[in-house]
Amino acid sequence: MECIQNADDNKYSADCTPILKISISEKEVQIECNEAGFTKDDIEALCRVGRSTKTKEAQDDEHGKRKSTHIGEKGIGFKSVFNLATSVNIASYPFYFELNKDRELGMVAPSWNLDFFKNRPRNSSPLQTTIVLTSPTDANVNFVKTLRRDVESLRPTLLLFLNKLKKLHISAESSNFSLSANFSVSFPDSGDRDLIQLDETGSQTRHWNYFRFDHTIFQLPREKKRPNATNTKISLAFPVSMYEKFWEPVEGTQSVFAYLPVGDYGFRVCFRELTDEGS
Amino acid sequence: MDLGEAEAVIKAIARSKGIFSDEWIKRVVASGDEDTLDLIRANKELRADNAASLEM
Repeated sequence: MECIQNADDNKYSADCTPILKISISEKEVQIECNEAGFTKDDIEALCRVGRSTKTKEAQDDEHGKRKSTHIGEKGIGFKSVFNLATSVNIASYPFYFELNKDRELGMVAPSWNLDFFKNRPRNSSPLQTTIVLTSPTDANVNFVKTLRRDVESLRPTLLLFLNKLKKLHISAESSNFSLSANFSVSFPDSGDRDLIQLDETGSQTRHWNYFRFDHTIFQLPREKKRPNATNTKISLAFPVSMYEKFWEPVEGTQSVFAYLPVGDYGFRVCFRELTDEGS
Repeated sequence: MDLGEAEAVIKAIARSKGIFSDEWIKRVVASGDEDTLDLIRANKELRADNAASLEM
């Protein structure tokens, strides 16, 4: 989930469709993204605690309040990969480096490692940034076994409330488990500007339509942990299907999101709450 | 930026962390280099930052 958050926080060129690909095998996790690419500032942020380039993009909204469209708040988030893997190699041309928690200061001191990527099979159409996790932290458990529950729980509705990501491809392959799915979100040119279409292809092909409505609430009560959070945006997404040229509501409970899924509490709409601090 | 420049950036970031490693500080203490020890004392916060990273 952390890598999905990070991918949604990335910068993308205006003419590309933001894509995230996650490929999991027993020995490694490969994450690819067509973001604009790492800068020196991004790398320094990854190598620090308590500071991220993400926070630099906070802006003022039309009411002069601080607004951030980012999910993450701290560079500390990236280091959660070390709960999963000992070594992380990152390629984002022209940068090729490794962070390795078995090295002294290896979680914060990058090591140039072009050879790691030179020696890998070449992808025919590599995306700008590739992150490869190797050496599971728990040597007795492979990556597929560790992540299987997370992978199986992913749903296309994940894309409903993300800011930038439009396509997510996820695959996992081991000796006794295999899964591959492509999720995408689009805005059909139907005249209904609130209409969103979700598609899933892969082992099964399915489509969903949602009407999404946003509402901003100002002057939130003070919260000690988020002193700068004064606004919040609540989004509701109603699943619908076309019946004789009219959109009809689809019955069934839906999930609650704080950008990413939080849980299913029996609501019959998808529900998202987002403070101006990011979650 | 080309590969050579990128490599230099990565190594500079690593050096900025490495000079505060425990091993490096032990060497400085052993050498009795007071100027460098003053630098270490002045950067206690940065060392704490790195130490926090290691403990995560």
